[in-house]
Amino acid sequence: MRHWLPAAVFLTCTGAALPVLAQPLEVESLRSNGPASHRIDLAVLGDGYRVEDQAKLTADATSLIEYLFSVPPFAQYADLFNVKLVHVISNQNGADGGDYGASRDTALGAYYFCSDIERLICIDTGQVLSVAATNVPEFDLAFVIVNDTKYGGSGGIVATTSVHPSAFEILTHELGHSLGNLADEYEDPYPGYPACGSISDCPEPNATLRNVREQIKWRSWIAESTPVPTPETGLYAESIGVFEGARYLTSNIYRPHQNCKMRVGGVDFCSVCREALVRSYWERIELIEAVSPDGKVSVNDCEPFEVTVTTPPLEESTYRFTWTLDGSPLAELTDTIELDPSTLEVGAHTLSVLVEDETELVRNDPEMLLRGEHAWSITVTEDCSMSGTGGTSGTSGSGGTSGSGGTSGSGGTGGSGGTGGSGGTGDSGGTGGSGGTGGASSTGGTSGTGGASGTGGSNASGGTDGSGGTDGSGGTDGSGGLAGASGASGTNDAGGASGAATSDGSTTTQGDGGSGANVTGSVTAGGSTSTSTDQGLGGTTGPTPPAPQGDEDSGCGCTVPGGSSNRQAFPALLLLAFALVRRSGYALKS
Amino acid sequence: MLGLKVDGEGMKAFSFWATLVVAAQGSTGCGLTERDASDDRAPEVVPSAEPKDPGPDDADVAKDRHLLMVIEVEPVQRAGRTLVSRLVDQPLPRLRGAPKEQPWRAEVLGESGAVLYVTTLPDAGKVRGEFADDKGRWSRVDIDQAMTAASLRLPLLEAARVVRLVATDGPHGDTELARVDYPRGLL
Repeated sequence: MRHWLPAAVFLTCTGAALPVLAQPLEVESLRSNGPASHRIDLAVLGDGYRVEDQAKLTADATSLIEYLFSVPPFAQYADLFNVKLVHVISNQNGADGGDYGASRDTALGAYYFCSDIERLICIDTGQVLSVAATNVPEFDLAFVIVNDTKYGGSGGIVATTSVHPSAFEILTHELGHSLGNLADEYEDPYPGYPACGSISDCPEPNATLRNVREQIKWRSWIAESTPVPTPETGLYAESIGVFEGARYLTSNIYRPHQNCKMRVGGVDFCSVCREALVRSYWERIELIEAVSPDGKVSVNDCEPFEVTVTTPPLEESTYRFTWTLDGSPLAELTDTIELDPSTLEVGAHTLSVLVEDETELVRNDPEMLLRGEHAWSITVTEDCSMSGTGGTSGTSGSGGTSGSGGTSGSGGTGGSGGTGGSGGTGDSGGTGGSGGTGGASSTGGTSGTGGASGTGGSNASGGTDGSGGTDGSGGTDGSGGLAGASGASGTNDAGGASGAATSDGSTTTQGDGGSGANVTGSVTAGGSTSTSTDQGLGGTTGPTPPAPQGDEDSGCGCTVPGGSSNRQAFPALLLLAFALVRRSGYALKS
Repeated sequence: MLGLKVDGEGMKAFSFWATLVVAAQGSTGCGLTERDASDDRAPEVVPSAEPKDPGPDDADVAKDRHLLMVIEVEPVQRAGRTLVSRLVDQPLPRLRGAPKEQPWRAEVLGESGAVLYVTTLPDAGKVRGEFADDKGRWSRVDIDQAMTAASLRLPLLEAARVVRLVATDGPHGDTELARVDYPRGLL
């Protein structure tokens, strides 16, 4: 895609010529991977390309970029880069001293034999940067393709390369310097080059004066079986080690690999140099480029809401997301989390996310460049803790274990209603009401038949005698209560219960979810009142509770209606009394 | 390029809506304080810019845009001129991690000469020649160009008056390489 950028605004200098090329030129996007402020932006300029050579410029630049992004670790992180090509038009092709002649009229003034070094290409740096600033103002790095087939190039504030195929290697190597701060690992002398500090060591990540394993900055890459220093033998040809000779010296300085791209052309960067390059990418880019919502979050209703972080694209994501709420880790591992206000108490909270690039290419990250963090201040103003959307129905009251003869027979304390299931969808089930104190009757279970009806909401006043069962035989059938029928949906969403019978006749119920009625269910059970406080908005979609199961009360050998339908606690002994009344006509009288 | 802003001297943010002035000749944007290129005095040794604690006004810097300048430099002659200065609608880029030592430093000075902002940059005068032989082995040569250029990304500072380039690796300490006007007309 080609486009014209808006004209830049310039100041011109008194008496100084405005650079000829400080004007808008045609700009072609070769790679577009996102907002410039969150990417590494490369500006590629052509020199020695005439009008009729512009298609060739596109082809040459594309080849160069494809080559660059085929080289690890540029390949893995190619999506972090934007590349724009500026179509600079020259009057002639080639460069001075190149294959097309000694003197060429080109826009950026590229020439071989810079400082009498045949292959060294120099260029008008001011022109190059002016063109880049005018046409690709977001550029982080600029380099120039010189339309000459003679091998050559240079590095520095602006890197250049000819179109000689081998010259592309120069650019890649130069990016190792300019991006990764990598040292040259070859030993060709460079008199006067600043030496590494004996205490501070070499500033580059791939050179060291040390030869003791524990002191090597890249020691995490060195296998235990690799000797330090490492002999330059075939056995260690592909190993990371500590090889003598680097940084223009043959001895007393070490490099991590026998043949890395920073030492030899035509090979890959070694693991240590790849690591440095990846770190350098993240030195320029934040791992979190956007968040949603942005800013403080105020929760004024009880609707769940999403929180998202946007990370720069990676072809194969190596991101790890760690979310915490008020310091406690959350289970979500992706870039998005849904927060349910019902899980938040009224007040201030802090939601945080830590994003890490867990690439295998990096083992050392002392500056924590591969991490990004963000925190949201969340203020909850409405108490949503009572509202529910679930209808997640508590387990219905499973029958108690067969009741052996009750020893006490006293009406146990009625099981608390258990936490009621949250209400049906869109409804607040509310917490289940307490099951009420145990019915006092609880005579020793004589029949042990299941509670007959257990009609929820009936008053079912507790028996009064509560004397210990005399026979104490276990409930004979222990079948589930017949129905536990009442507690119709929407009327009494007291928590149901698993009526685990206990030996003293108490029953604990565990309600299933209410069906979401918006009423306050008031169910009298076992002589007590089980109240569900239901804040729902009128549930209609709550799940139909499962058929109740009886609870056998070991204390009385009776069976109590499962609380599932009624969603309320039915003290087992109360129901025993109830059953007795029905069966025998025995009237409980006070 | 690492940006370290120092000193809060009179530093106030320009409004996000700062007027964009298209400066014509005679603008204060460039070159008025250039040194005479024929001046053959020995390189001036300037005192090192001591970073100071960020002042309270630091937060006032316009965050959504910055200034991009291209300055042509003749290091030996200690001369410089502004080739391009423009606003860029992006936050000022900053490197994450620890500050990096680099051989050049750009400083933005206030009227009193106080350093308002410091950033480091590579030696723009160096050109590396690295070439592989037929076995792929590299060799290197560096040259120093008599004339080069540097691109600078700077914050928008109302109190800024001057931009100067300083070499920090000279034999005598910091050496001023060039000095140009801060393009206040853009703000």
